[in-house]
Amino acid sequence: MDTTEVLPARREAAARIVEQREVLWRIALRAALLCARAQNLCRRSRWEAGRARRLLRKHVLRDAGTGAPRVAPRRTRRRSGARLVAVRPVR
Amino acid sequence: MAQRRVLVVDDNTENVESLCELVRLWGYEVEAAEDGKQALAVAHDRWPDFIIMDLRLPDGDALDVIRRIKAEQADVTVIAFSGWSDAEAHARAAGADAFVLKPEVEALERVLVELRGLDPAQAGSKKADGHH
Repeated sequence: MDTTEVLPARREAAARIVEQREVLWRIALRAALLCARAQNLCRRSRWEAGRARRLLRKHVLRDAGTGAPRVAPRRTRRRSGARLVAVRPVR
Repeated sequence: MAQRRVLVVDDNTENVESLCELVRLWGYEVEAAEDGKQALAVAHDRWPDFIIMDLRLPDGDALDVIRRIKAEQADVTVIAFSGWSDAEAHARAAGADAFVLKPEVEALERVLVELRGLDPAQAGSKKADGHH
């Protein structure tokens, strides 16, 4: 092969490599995107699971002997049952 | 902290959609342009912190687009990508701050993080200064 044949052959090979890189780029982008979406879903899923666990402990399992300290119910103020009587000031 | 804005420039619709969503999931605000003309317009209007640009654009010379954007906004960080390894020298000569050879998607994320880490005050001060 002389130089006149070698140079076009190299150019052709280089162009083929570039085309293959373009195809791989598309696949790699797609793969990276799916990976990032999966990580995002995992993160959200962990957060949701944590939230569900916290709500479960707070509202459902608090009296079920789970070891969580029992919170005393808040006292409400009792109102007197006596009727209100208006008192006129003495002059 | 304000979200960093990234302009993605690529003529391939499928790739630009994937890249935009990917960059968004990495935590950036994303704009897209499909050719050089649109890239210049969006860069002028939105003043992105980063531009990720394919060097193969349908309407001409991507290197010229980089030169023009850099002339207007010297502090924007341009990351060029191409399938041609020879393109790196040309891209850097035109003003690109980094070059990614296809198909190295991970390198793109690494470069974004590194460049953001090198000059953390840049994007924040840019927003505060108000370019327009």
